[in-house]
Amino acid sequence: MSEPIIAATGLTKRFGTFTAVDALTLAVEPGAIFAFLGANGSGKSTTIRMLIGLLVPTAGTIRVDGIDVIATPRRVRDRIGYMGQKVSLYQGITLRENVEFYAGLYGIDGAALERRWGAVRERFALRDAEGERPESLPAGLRQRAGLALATLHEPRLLFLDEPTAGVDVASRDLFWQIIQDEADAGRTVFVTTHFLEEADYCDQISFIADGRLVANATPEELRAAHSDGYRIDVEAPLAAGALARLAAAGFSATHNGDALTLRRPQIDAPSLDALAAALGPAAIGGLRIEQPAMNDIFTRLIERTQVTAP
Amino acid sequence: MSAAPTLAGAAPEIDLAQLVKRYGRKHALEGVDLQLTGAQLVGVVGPDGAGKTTLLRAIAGLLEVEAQRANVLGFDLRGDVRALKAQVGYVPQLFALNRELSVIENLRFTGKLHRIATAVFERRAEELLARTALAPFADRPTGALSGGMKQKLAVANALLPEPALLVLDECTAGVDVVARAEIAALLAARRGETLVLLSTSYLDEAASCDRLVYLDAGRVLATGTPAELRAQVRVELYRAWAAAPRAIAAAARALPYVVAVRTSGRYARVEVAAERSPGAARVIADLAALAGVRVVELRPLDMETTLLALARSGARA
Amino acid sequence: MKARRLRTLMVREVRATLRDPFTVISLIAVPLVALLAFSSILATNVEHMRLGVHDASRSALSRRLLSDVAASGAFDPSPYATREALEAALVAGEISAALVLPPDLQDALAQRAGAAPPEVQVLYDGAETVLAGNADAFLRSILAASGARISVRELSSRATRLGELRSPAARAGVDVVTQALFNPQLLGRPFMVAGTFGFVLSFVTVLITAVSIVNERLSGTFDQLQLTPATTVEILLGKLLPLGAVFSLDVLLMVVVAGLVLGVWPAGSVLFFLLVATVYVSMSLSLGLIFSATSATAAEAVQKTVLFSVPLVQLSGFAFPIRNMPMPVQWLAELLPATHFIRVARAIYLRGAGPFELWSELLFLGAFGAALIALAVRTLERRT
Repeated sequence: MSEPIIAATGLTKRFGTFTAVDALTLAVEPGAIFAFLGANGSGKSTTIRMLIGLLVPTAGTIRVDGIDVIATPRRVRDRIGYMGQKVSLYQGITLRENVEFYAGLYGIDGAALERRWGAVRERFALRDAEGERPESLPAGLRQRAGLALATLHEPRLLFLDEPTAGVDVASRDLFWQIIQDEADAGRTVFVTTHFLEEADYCDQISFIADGRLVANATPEELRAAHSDGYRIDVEAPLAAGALARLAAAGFSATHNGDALTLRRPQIDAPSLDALAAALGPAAIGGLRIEQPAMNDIFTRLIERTQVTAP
Repeated sequence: MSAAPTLAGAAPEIDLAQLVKRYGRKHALEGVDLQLTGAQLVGVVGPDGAGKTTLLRAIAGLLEVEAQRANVLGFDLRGDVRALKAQVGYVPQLFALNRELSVIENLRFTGKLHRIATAVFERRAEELLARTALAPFADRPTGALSGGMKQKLAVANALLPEPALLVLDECTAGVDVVARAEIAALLAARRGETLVLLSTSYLDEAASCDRLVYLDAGRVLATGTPAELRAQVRVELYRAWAAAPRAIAAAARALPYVVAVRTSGRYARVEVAAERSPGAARVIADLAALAGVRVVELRPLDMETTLLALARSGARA
Repeated sequence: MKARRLRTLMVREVRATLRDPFTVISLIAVPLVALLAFSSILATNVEHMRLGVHDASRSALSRRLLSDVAASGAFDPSPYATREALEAALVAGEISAALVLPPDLQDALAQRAGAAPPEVQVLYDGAETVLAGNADAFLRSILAASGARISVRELSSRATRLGELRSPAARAGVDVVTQALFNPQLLGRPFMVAGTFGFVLSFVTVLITAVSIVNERLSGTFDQLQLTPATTVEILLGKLLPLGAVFSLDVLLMVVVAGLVLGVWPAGSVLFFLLVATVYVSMSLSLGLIFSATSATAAEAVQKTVLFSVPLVQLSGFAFPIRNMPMPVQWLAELLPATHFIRVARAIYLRGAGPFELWSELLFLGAFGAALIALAVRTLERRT
């Protein structure tokens, strides 16, 4: 296990008598896509604003990339890129002028700016938008432009607060391809969303309710803990001895005539291997895997926390 | 001029032909043709900037429009729409209730505007507050509610006068899954009584509509039940399962017939253009041959694939 | 602080300001319209004012005084035989002001040594304060030359019974002399032009600035800005300097238009006036930034500006003379920077005053400005 790139302990924020964030402890691995989920008003944005140094917590410690954010918020600024719910492009000036503006604040100009922006512009499909003013761009494009600006100074971490809210499905699709590419390039991504299918695009999920952490796991671990698990309908005939191997790999089987239904709380690398081996090369396409939807998992999680809440 | 209001179900409740809306030189709607009859849940979907908001506002009688025909609930949108507005509930993208008033005060205000009798108001308000789980917050100032609660209240408020037509513009954007489910339940309770038009970017909400209207560049590109829309799309969807699916995405994209690949959890979603597809068996074999792939399945089209494919065909047109 | 970052911030602010048609129109049209409107609508030039005269003295001196008054062209005097008739005419609105010359005018002036000077009464209609105030000043300057002491009475309204004539501050002769010095031609126009700078820079400047940060907050750019390496001081200066330059140009524009169109140029140094105006601009900018940084919506920032600036301008002596206000209000007025700026502006425009005569006013403005800028930095730095 490497040293976490984001480490918060006992993070608390009170506004008057209202506790928005309550003793939250978080650890994010470098290079991970970390989903930070929760219902409306659960304290997500407040937490992000504390992690990036825009808000001083009432109590707790925060280290981002080894820097104490509470004591020295300015030192972390070169290392993080942030995109809020409102895409922070200046209206009235073109996208290109926005780029020059933000790059200028990070001290990037001349050849360095051309090189970086040239690469980002192609990767984010922004070529046609360069001369446009943000207010005349469709939401999806504006969102991508905002993300492009947040990555221009090549930060080690990206904080994205509901980056895909109100964006159409095609733009969301492209957006997540970009996010996954960023993570593959070693960048840590901390992201919130209400499109719960997007939780599956992430490596780790933290779920908060009423300012408290109620779950912190991989998507598959959440499936195992908070759903009825996978259901696999196998149509193709199985190789000899396959059922025994599947049972050893943790699958439970039920027969219904010729049809076979397998169940498993979660699917990991060994269980996939077992499944492939059991089916054999000829029948590799002869199955249907029903995956528990993240929507249902989170509905359960929220309902459970509401029941146990004081 | 405007005809007398028709009885529900007797005639098309929305009948638009070549509806055009211009803002200066810009055309937001380029000639919309749309017929919808009877109480049902209709989703208006399409890319950003397609004209969804403009269409919804036009149908709610909030815009001056040009058209060959523009009848909503028997009223002509080009004429006097004051009587129409009494029968239409409209929830805009931005929260539009009074933030200083409490939840119940906002509802009461709407009740008074629509001259709902006190006894009737009490009954309906109680039911709406219960369904939206807002009852414990009835006396809280609306401005102090969370985003999800505000949207639940906005929809409940629009339903209070029991309108014949309800128009919801992205009313669930940025709203959490539980609050969205409560809004869906509110709408379901009025199924069969109200014609509901809503725009949404959530795939599950689009999939649960009775009918979808796919709008692109100010025109209706496709309309029908979700199943009918899926049938129009010439795409095959596969899932390639692997321990680390991100690693196979690039290789999958390199296959000549593959349109798009995106990884999710333990699998990569692979979309294949039907006209270039060498057949399911071959695609499955090709995908299974990629390093790391364990299992491949052919999937029925889902809403995501359908909308992505429609977006691609819209971009080509 | 890094020069390059500051330049980046300033370039964007100037671009944004100059590309927004609404802001540009506000910057050009509002000051010019205010200049032209206030200098004509509120024009307090005294011309052909109906003046009732009761000359109880009937002396050579009184006749000379009255012919001076008539020759000025400012008044159309008409004689009244009795004081009662005079007051009745004033109440009835037949005349706008009244002059009462006492029977002992000449005698009292003759035996100057030791004795109290004769008292000349000026009566005017309290409903027309500005006009009456100028007529008052005009009469004082003519009468003061004679050495007579003047007392002023204001009829608070035309409905007031004669027995209840209020007698507010009857100021001593010094006041008369200085007033005449400030504005020897007793022209209302330069007086109003100089005041209009105070109005525009207290209102338009604060308003345009007040909207700027709150808009950035709403659009999310303010958060983004705070997350870049730019410091709070740089962000503040990135707003203050370009907006300050824009409003200083605005002042120059107003000076030139007032000179060319209205024929009103400062009696003192234009450069000195521009300098003082710039100091005042930076104060208004800071105030606008504070309003902006403490508001959740643009509407709230505008409300704060209006609620603050309207009384500020009202109390500043821009339209209503401060000396006519109740004492506590006068004290309050002395605490407001607009009062001091308008006083300085008028001193430069009418009297040609320089920095040495105005040092105490300038010190006040400078100290107030420094305090506001410090407060603005603190407000922007808050991370709660």
